[in-house]
Amino acid sequence: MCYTGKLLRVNLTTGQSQVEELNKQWAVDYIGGKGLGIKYLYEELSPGIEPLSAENKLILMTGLFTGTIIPLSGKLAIITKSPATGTILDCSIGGHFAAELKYAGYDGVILEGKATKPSYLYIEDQNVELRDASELWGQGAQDTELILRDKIHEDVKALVIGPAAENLVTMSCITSEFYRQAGRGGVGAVMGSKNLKAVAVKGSGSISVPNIKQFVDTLQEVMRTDTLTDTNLWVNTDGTPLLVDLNQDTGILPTRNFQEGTFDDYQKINSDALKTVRTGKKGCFSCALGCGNYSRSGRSTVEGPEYETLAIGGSNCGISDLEAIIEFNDLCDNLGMDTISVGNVIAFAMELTEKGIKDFGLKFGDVDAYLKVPGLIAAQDGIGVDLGLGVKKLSEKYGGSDFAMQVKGLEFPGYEPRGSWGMGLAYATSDRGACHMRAWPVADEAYGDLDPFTVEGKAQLVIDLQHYNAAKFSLILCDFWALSMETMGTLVSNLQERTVSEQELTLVGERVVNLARQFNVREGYSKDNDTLPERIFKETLKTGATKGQFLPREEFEKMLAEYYSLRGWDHNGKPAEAKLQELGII
Amino acid sequence: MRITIRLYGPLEKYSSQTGLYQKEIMSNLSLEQLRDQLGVPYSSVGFIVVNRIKRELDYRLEENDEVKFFPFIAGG
Repeated sequence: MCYTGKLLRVNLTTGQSQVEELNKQWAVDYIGGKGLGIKYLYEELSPGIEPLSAENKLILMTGLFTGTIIPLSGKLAIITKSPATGTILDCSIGGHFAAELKYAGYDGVILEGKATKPSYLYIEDQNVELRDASELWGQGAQDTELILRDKIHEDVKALVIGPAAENLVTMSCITSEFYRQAGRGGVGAVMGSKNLKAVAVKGSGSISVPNIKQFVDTLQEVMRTDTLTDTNLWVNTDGTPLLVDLNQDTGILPTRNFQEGTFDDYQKINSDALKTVRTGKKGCFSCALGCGNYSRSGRSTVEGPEYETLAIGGSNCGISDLEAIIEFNDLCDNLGMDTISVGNVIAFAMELTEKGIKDFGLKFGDVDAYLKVPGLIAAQDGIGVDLGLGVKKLSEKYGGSDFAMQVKGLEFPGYEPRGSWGMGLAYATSDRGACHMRAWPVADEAYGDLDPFTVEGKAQLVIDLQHYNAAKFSLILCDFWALSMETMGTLVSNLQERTVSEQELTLVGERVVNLARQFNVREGYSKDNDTLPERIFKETLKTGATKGQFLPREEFEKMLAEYYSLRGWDHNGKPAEAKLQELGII
Repeated sequence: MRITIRLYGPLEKYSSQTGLYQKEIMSNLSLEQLRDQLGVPYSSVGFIVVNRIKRELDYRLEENDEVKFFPFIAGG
């Protein structure tokens, strides 16, 4: 129940597709979304393949909850091997595509090979066609979706790429509903490398649940006690821009390429500032909270900017001009690029310029030069060729690796780890490079009761958070719902007609994390890659609540060693055979 | 004595005032007592910052303190 039991496998090279049975045992062990997608990719990909070659696969995976009225269950997982890092990559994208795919009759889609010419895939229930996309190729992500709605149907749901992904930029994303992205790791470039401009879907089916009365009664109670509560309502009142104020006051707001943790002009880019230009709110399928803020300023209207764009594309670039940040957001949206990676590479290039290492003509706070960069990266023109390499490769080419803020080739998100030491461990051990969506210790450290400036207890904290998020992203639920593992168990139990405990879900989380790690180990990753830039280990922050703080390397190594030990991994970060057997991975 | 207060996000509804506002309070009031006086449920408060420094509930308020009540945040 709640699964369709069917996967669509599409060979883009031949244009042929087939429907196959969903692996039932894997669905029990990994549930769906992140976990099930990683399982399929792990089993089907040989190690060492080039991420931008036809051998890579792009998996779209829904979850057990997808298509139901469980709140915040509207997201889709997209899984592939990352062209930015070479690691496993799973992204989470909102909007309405996931539910529509389920209503079309599929739990997931596996995209293989490479189309011989620019194409788009159209799925309408059992009818699956690979269509010519020559008139779409070169169009912006948003423009493409408008054309598809016009051509096919106004209600069609689509995943699209923009020109950046067509040009194989490894910070390009997949976009849906104009403003929602599968953002990180170059997932868009994988789609571009397959000559696939879009996947569009219309579904006329539905989902049934085992006992609808009990299900609705349960949901009413869950909504009342665990969803529409002050613990979650920040999403509706403000959305992520609220984090600008929290992070300024806790000294973890990335400023000028992570040189500082506070930004003097933060009030020009915080939630209060956004509200002066806010014209509406938006939510994804089944969302009860609606984090999306429509903002209109100057030439641009966006759904956003989110915190990451305000921080990494704002304070981190020394930019306090909100209209400019909104325009930056708008440019990245239509070109189809991750604002986190683009913002980081601009900030890095600003510092390289100011230090006289390499002159990119960029300076912290220079709005005009900053706004030119997204177009140059997307078109692979001028300085865009170098900047499109990303922070890691750019530092390998010109220097500055000490302040190249990345892990494994994925640029830092907007939380200063010197003000939240557990976050440093989270970045270093995340399965896809520096990421805040695998574990977010900031809530317990910077905002909570735990001392941010110690490694004591942080290894276990990060492990627990990684299991929680891995389980959550396999159901699939949105990051922003602060529900307990127990409530997750209640919801799963309702849909599976058997009691699923929080222990069982935690085990799913642990299995997913270990499988992702095994994928990376198979690709050659080890302890050497579980590290942070020297800036974090050597340079002290100078202002605010984190004044005088840095994360000493020996403390980090202690924390990492404890993390490996608690996980049952060897000193090189490789999961022991006993652990993999215990989890049923081998 | 006078302090300045800001209730962020979903906590704003617990006051008739919006944004940063001033309030007269008794001297030596603790943050916990202020929270209760404002009618903000204890379970709704994520953390409290006084003059840009995170403080515990037993912190005793002083003249001209700027107090910010932040909600819980999940995710990022």
